[in-house]
Amino acid sequence: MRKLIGVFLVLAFLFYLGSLALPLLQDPTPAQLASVGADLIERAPAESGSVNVVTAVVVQFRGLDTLGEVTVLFVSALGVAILAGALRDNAFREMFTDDGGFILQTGSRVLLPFVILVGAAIVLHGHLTPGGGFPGGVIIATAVLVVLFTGGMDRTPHRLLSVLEGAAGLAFVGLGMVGLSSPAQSFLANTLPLGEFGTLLSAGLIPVMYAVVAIKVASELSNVISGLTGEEAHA
Amino acid sequence: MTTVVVLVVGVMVVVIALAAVLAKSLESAVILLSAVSLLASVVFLLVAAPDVAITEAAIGSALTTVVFVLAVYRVRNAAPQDRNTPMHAADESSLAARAPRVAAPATTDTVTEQEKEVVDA
Amino acid sequence: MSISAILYAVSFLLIAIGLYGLLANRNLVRMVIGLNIADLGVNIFLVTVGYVEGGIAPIFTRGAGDAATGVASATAAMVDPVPQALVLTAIVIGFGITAVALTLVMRIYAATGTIDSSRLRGLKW
Repeated sequence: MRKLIGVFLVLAFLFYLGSLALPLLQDPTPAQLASVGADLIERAPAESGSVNVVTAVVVQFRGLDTLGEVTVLFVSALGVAILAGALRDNAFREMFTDDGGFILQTGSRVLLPFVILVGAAIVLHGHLTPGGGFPGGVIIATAVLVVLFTGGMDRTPHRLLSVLEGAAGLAFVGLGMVGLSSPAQSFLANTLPLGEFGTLLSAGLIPVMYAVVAIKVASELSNVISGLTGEEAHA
Repeated sequence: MTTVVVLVVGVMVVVIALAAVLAKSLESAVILLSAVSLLASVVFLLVAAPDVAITEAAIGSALTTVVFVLAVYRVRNAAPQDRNTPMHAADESSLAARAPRVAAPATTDTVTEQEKEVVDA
Repeated sequence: MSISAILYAVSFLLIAIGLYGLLANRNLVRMVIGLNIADLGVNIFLVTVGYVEGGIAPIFTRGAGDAATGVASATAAMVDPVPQALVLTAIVIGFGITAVALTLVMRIYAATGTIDSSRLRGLKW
């Protein structure tokens, strides 16, 4: 009965959505950009110096949205830490007691530096190639995950990760405040000089801020996942 | 050419998502969700959004699947309740353990009612 | 069928499938799976809004058009960068939501011993 009601409601909702969006479904793909996007693409090389326009939009033109996202991630990590604090009953010990054998141990020891290297490369080249702070931070968090799965639940440095997370968040806001005292006088302005377009040391403050965001995302997600296992070794 | 590829990948995404929601066991639903994530990352690539594709692949296929596997492992004893079977006795006792808290307000209600009767009379 | 129309239909279907997963399941973990699928549908919708026919990714490649910066001829063919920036944020936040939801499910299981939503009658009298 519940399934029938579910199917009926979903079909009704789909019908409603389809009727609202009928022009969308009938029109061909637009041949021209919307005005905001075209304007930002034209302004990006001169104002931000970054080759990757999405990075410039995320860090500079819409930097306030990134600040909001960092805050939401922080609150969700806080929520997981509080909720999982009562789960310290070692239910995952059986899952993590066997080290995974010789292959997993050796393989993870060989792969771990490469994973961190790939993550760091994606972060540092955020203004030149696709990627940036968010996916790079997630890849570095995956490296911590590899440590977790090879019996290293006691080896993840929880206190260091928490301190790093808070310091990175503070650094992001601090760098934004520097923009308040610059000639541009706006929060999260690009204050360093924009170098030559297309080189590594270009785009002013964008690589620095994105790297700070990456550190925050990586330490936060590692804390979330190791907090979910509810171990008792929390400092 | 790209239209055909997008059509094929789009149909695969919808079919595998339907399979993930209608899956018989919880573990297969989680693995199918990870597959949907991977195919969605390919869709993002076909729409010329490489940043979004990298982010979706890293988060959807790696981290979300890990968190789901941890949760499923933890609630594994409840998996038989997927299929409309009644709870076994152990759960009845855990619900009964909260009964005294439910009974307490009733006693205070009767006390105040008696007080009211005394005052009215 | 244009690419945008196909992907709009795909995103609507994904939202509908995710909604069905939320409504018709009693198992809490399956509800979170449905939530994730609906989230994916919304993200695909947002990215498709910015797609332009035959567009390339919004990254300036050296040597396209102007010799020094590659700016001039590239604007005509690039895809809209703003929806992509928003979806980048949305995907990471979606993971945060999934993590909190699954932690809640684990707490509910530890407290009551069930993850069947029709048996959770703590708020009903």
